[in-house]
Amino acid sequence: MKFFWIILSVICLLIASLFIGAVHIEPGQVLDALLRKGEDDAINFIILGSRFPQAMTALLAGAALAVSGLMMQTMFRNPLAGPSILGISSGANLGVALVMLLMGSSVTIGSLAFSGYVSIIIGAFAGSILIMGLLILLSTVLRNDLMLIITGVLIGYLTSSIITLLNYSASAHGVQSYIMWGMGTFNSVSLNQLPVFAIIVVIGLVLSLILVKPLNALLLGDDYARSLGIPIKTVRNLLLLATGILTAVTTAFCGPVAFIGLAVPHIARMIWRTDNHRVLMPATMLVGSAVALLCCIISVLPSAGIAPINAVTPLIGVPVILYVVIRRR
Amino acid sequence: MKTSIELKDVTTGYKNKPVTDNINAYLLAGELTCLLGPNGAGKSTLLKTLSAFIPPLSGEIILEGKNLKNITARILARSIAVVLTNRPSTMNMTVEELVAVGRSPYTSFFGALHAADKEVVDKSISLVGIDDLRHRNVNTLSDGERQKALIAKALAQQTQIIFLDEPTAFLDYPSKVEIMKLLYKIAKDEGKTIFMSTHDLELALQIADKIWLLDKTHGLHIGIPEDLAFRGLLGDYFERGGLRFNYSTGQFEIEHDKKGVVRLKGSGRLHDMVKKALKRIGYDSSPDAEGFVIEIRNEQDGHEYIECDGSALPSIESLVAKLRRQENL
Repeated sequence: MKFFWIILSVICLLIASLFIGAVHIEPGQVLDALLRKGEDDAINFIILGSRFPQAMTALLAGAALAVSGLMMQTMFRNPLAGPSILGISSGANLGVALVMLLMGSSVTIGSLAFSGYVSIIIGAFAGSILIMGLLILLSTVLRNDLMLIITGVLIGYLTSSIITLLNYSASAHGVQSYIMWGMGTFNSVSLNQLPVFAIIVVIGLVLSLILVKPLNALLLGDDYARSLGIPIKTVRNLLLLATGILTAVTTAFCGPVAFIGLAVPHIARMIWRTDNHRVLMPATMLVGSAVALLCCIISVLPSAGIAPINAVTPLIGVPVILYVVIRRR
Repeated sequence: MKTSIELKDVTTGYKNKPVTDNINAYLLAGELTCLLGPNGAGKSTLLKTLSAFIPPLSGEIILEGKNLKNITARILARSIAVVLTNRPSTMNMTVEELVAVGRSPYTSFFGALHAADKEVVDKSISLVGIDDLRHRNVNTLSDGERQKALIAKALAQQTQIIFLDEPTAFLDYPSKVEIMKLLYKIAKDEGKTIFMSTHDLELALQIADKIWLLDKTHGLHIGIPEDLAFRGLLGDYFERGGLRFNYSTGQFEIEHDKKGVVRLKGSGRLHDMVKKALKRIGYDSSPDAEGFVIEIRNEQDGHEYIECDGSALPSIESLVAKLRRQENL
């Protein structure tokens, strides 16, 4: 029943995000454009070339970030784990910065040639995997929840110091495009790039669904999981791979989108009241999509134009995190 | 009875740091075996070695005719189930879901439960007597209830052997008794091999089929409780300042500072209680000792009272108070 409502919400939000935008377009014209009957090229372009890929990107990126947050929370046994707070996004960030600023390309990902954005994805993937691996190593030493979070935040500072150095020596245009990317947007995947983005995200999501059973065993702790015949090392590596892929591809395309990965699994837990990943994994995906679409819609509401997505996500993320922290006290 | 697991010259420990040397022992099906020993004796290390969490430094552990180290994780998970001492931090799932995790070694890739699996889960829940808790969230259970749920999880694993690391720690006394009796019943009714470490010496002596005594100085001794008591081994392992093993009752007693002897005449329930109270405050008593005279009077109508110095005392407490006043003179 709860799944029915969340699927309905996702569909409604998806449709709403096609009809609501920075430019006012009559619903009839939107329908015409969608059915490819529209005669106004500008409107056709806005709907099919901008709003549709943006909505699909939000749908996929939201699910991807939320699911990687969920897997990190289970893996690190830490409710405050998530791609942005643990510095995984910063790692991807650094990878992207290295590619963007050092390759001398002075353009945003949206207009990069295929080889350009593939190298950005690879950069983001290498960066995020590097930080994840580092955290997994450290998590065997740092038993304390809080220590791991602090380490993640420190890693974030470290990467940003490197990025600052890179920025210092980069061209003005490169810096500007990098900063724009850093604000986060779901509007950066073009219709042509969408299939690539979608395929990579779906691979990551399928990989996550396969990990449902070991994730449930991991809830009891590593020793219990091992006694249940779960190959811990393999599972950790697969979790590393899945979260790496999902964080990297969304960060590469949409910038470091904050809070969705951290907050959405908690929203799903509040609604479904379970840690059972057989329920929680699909629930988190759907809530992630819904939240990302909602953020997307809110971001176009200001009359001045489109707000960066990272200006909106904290509005949803921060209250949820405060709630989790207060309730844990 | 069938030997389930056998240790041949096993030395337990971590990297070149042996904890217990040359263990030769076996566990029988249908028996509850308790591992007793002071903190730091190597109980947990032995359990971890038997569960294949850590390899033995030397020697062989034979499980159903095969060396433990050559058994695959999945087969091992169908042979040995564990209940660990550290409680899982947050367990936001129902008892039923937790017990179902015990089916992991049997379920397919996605962990879907078939009808047969559900039947095993139901049976396991019934066996430990927590049917009424099956839809409760594990986080809301008491320590004893959670321990039962974890035992049900171990049963759902359908293994011949169940290892439990201090399952009665953190429990109140009635729950300790309940858990021990439950484990005994499972050993007998289901023919399981149950091996548990515990600090609850007296309970273990009263209920276990076999006792393994382990400490740093004496090594490992195995036997039924009464043999170990008779051979004076229980005393060797546990007697220290103020704690003495009473060979006639087969129980440990606190040794009190001796203050003197009193003459106690009479018989009956009140007599026994007075004798106990006198012992607690440091007085030996006998009907023909020299000294302070206390007499228990039994009336025709069954009324009993204490007579001392020619006057009747209303309670044992007033007798104790009188003796204390006497001491201070």
